Amino acid sequence: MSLCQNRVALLSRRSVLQNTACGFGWLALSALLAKQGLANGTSRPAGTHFPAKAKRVIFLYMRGGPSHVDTFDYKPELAKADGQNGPRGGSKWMKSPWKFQQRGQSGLWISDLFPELGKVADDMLIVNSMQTEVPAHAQATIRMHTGTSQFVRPSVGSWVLYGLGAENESIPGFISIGAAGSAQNYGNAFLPAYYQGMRLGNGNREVDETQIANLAPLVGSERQRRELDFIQGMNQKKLQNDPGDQEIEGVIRSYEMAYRMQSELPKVLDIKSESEQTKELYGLDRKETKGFGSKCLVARRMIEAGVRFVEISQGSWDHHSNLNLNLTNNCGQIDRPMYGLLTDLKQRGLLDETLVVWAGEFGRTPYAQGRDGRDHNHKAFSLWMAGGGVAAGKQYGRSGDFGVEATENPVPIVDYHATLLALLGLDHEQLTYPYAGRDFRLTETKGQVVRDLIG
Amino acid sequence: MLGLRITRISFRSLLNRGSLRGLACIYALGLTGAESSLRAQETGPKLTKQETQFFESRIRPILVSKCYSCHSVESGQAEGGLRLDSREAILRGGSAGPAVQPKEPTKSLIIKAIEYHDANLAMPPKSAGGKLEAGQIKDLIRWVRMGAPDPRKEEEHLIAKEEINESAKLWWAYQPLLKPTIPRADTWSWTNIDRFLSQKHHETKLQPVGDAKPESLLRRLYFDLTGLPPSIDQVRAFSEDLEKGLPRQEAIEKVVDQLLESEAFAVQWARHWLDVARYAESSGRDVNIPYNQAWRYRDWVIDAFRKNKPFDQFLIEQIAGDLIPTEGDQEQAQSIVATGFLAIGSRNINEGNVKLFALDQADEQIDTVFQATMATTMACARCHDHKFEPISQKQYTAVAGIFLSTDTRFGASGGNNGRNGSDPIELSSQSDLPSLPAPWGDSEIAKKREELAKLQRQIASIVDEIEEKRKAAKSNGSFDRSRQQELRKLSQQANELEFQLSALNEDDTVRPLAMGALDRPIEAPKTDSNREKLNRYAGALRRTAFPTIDDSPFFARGDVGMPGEKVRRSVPDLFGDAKDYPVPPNASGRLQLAKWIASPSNPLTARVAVNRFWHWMMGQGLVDSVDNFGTTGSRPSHPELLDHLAGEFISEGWDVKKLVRKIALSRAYQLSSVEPNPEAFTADPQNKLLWRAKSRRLQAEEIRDAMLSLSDRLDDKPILGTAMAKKNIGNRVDTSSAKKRGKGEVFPEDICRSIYLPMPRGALPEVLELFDLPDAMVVQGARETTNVPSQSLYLLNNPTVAGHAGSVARRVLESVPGRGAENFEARLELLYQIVLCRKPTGDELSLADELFRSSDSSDVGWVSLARGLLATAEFRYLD
Repeated sequence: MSLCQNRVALLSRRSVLQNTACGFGWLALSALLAKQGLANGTSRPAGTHFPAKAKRVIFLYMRGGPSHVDTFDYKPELAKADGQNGPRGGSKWMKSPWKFQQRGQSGLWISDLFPELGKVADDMLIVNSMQTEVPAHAQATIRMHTGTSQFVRPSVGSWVLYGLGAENESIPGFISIGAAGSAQNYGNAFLPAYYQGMRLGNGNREVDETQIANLAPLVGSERQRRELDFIQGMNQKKLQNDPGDQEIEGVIRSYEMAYRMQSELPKVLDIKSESEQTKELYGLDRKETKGFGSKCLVARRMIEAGVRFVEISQGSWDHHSNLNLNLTNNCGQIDRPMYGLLTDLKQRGLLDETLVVWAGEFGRTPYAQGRDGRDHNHKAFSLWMAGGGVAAGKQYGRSGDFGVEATENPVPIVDYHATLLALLGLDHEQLTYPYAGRDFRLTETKGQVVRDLIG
Repeated sequence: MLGLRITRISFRSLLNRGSLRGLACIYALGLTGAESSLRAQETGPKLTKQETQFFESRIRPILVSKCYSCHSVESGQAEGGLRLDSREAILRGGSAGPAVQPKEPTKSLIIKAIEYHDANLAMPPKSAGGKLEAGQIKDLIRWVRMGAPDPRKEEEHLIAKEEINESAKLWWAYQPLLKPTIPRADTWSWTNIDRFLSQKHHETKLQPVGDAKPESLLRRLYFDLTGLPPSIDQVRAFSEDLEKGLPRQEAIEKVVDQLLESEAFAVQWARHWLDVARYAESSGRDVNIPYNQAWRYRDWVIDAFRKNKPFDQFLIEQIAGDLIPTEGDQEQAQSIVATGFLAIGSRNINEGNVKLFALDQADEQIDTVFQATMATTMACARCHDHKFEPISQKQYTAVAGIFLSTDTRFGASGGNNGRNGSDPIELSSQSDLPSLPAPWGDSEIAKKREELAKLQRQIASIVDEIEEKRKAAKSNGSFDRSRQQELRKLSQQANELEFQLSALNEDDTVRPLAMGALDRPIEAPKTDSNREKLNRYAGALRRTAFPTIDDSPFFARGDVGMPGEKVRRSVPDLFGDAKDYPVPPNASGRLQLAKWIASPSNPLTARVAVNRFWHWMMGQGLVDSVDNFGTTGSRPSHPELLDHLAGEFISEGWDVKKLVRKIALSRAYQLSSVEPNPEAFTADPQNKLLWRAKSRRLQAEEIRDAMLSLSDRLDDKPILGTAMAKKNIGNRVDTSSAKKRGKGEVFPEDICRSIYLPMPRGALPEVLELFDLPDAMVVQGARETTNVPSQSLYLLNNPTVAGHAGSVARRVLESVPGRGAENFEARLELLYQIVLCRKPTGDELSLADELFRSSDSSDVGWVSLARGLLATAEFRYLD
């Protein structure tokens, strides 16, 4: 880190320092620094590129590739062709075991697996023409999260935090709940470490603060304050010896956030304080919905606390067999909580500025695998979005009569990423980071904003 | 279940993946001087910035990746008389007429073609990836509507390439080493290094700051050379030397010589090289499969620094150790282990296209070898001639042949059902290299063997059944795939057992195994028919796409689906003497490549090496971009000094310790890092001219090892293997403790030096990852330094850290016995000495006193103070 940057600013910062007592006076200063965009290791573009529809994202990531033709992509032709020869040698079309209904004013087709979510169909935008490159979980997952599986790149959450900056300096701005698989999915790659996603919990386990490493203070808060005063006092003295040393400033700043995280993060994660009514809304009163419901509720609390990007990973949806039973179970776990989340966000006036996305890494084949399963399908899958300025109550794109391949308005991952950034007021072509001699983007050389998805 | 199926990758996806790097590089072309000079010569209409940008970001990539292969000068193809590689050529068109009518998409042939309305005209053809993506089609239509703005002039590629080549060839790093005259002595300079620096100070009228305080310097030397702090006794011995009147420089020399011979030196400097070698113990990418023999390479590197192996030899062995003459089994085994360098990289082990897997692996090796040794981004030329360096795709392909002719044995069980798995190399049993004992007892081994035999019988019977069904299916058209699922499951289990048992001989003794590289055979070995069946029915895909020593085809645009003519294997003809290293037809050519790299006439290797060592000692390289000496990298701050050091390095036998010693004894190294000098700061804020020393954050390993050392618990002896490798599991990274932890039980990995910890990619040890240990995906000669709250939380709340603080506090209390206030100062002084290598100041005394007084008991107070000091920025930074 060079010493020269912002020297004038540093001098003024030093004078601020001298006027503050040891220790926690730094809080005000760090807010000031954040405003000036001068914070160490967090240099980021100022402001959005155009007016933002959404300010934050909740990404409900369905690990394993949920079947689109059984959930959000209605295929009457497939039902008619049930049992007939499919497109691949030996394959047989398999109709969805579930009925579809038109929901809400908008008449979106949603299967009977989602009776609760269907009630808020008018808030949803369903895309039936998603496409990705490879029908293999790991690659497709990394592509969904970073745009490419070939190279190591920052994840979408890191880009969003980089583009928008943190709203709250007391907790990380990008949190990934229940992530499984590669750390690349929430990694910052070449972006400064500040933009790394904080992983919370593992797989489908319930989340609480015990899963954050070293968050619980070892000593009483009084003792810790005194220790911190000593540490920061020593650090200030070092800074006085070498004024303007950004790295020492960075250390001082990180202690402040760490200190606040200890008390802030458990508060955010503490869902006990929610009303019974809210808990019920998220399905916390039922065993099968409690797990995912509590994560959705935590996600809302994080959003309220100013986290920019929250991902909840839920799985597995890899239904090569036992589709009837397992898909019923999986959807049963998430239906009520998702309804609860959208409803709650709306009641609190948060839905307009919170983009909620539901997606897997790919879809599944409309023809059978074995008697009761579906194989991977990367050529067509569905996702839905809600809030955050999306064109709600609309269905976009088609995957033919059977759901084999996106035939109308296909949306590759890069276009989805470009659109997501656009909803946040970020131009995917302008949101760049210089690294290894060139400017990198989330969408590399591709990507087009799908205007029709924006309300 | 993760992907229990045969992965099929569409041709288009391959094309996209293969050409991605190409697109990325083209995108960056806007930066070069060569291109801006082209702009000036342009004859077409002047384009707006937006037009140019649109063309460069949207249109050119499509044309390059989808059209050029059949319609460009470069490809030598102009199907239908049409070229699409310049504005003129597009407007001129081919036999069917102009390809573009500006502003009239509906009348433009190119749009008709890509819209696939007319089957005869449909482009690109299926064989070249088929119809473009909808977005791409939209872009092209928009482009034509804009009037087809196109900055490419006729013959652009030729001019561009030549211009870039010519100017790049003049780049400083590609020039032969000079023998600069050593500047005259002056009063400031102690060594030759100083004279070069002093000359620049004079020229720029910069006044260097004073020398570092002795205690800071001692701490700096110990950490830089050994990664550990000096002990109290070592500090005392040093100050006694000074008190006895030994001149400072002699006292320093004594310390340096002692440290250079220590085991800790070997560990510290091996760790530096392991960053460059992207050392880790697992595949790390799509599925994370352990490399259970990676530690042998780690130990080889440590041993090389221990024995001060000449650096040229050090490089040659890592690239071609299996091919060099050796004496005796042990030496031979050691040099095979050295080639682990080529094998430890990350890989997409589940890749469904075995050809692409092999090409990606070769590419990773080329990237690593060229960056590690020559700081050259050779791999950029995989898909096209290098845009910034004088490296052609043909030269890349010639080198790719060398690595495709190499059998990289990374010794891993493989992805799904053993996909792309790789047998380790069995070292000679006479080599006497220690191996890890099997983690199972006799009965467990017997059980595993039985289980495997049973699985193999089941697999054979299912394979038979499937084959019969297939025969039947041919007649009636349908065939039940349900058993395939089962077959995959069984073969996955069998593969794991097979992998585990491959660690043993038939008599249950341990086989000495290693990762590494060998030349492929001249003739393809017979395929194993059982293996082929599993490949076919279970998607095991364990086969080699390039089975023999052979040249690599030239892949158009780097696309695995478009192999062209073969290019003869050769070392890159970059510096004139490539012809001295001809690749024999019956060898891969790695030995020739290695010797060419380590040749004294190679202008890059010695410079890059010297610069790396300089960087690790001084905190910044003479060339800032330590891994990139190309035209996009930085220029040296002191070119003469760099050449002087590189020249001496070669003439003194590539002697690493001598070089490190030279730097340590220079005055420049020993300057203060904190003394202010506002004038110099204003003139050279980045301290490029080294007017003071650079303070640096301790590395992750140094923080952990120092804490262990301060609390008197560090075991600095080498460890065989790693806690993970000892378990010998094939199909997943498992970093949990090998057995259940008893209360108070201490495992070797709790107290060993950090270099011996398990290093699976994506699951690196917490404390090391927190403090920026690289993720080992690429060559990384310079580490990042971050300050994130999780580091602070670790130091404040982690029980291990608290344990260290407790031990340090105990040391202090035991060393200064007695009770009462009179001991406080003596104890505090000792505490500061232990943690910071200095005495507390008056201010600090009262700061500490305040914390101490607020404590319920003396014990609590001392633990608080110890934890507090370990958490300070000063402990973490090296002044």
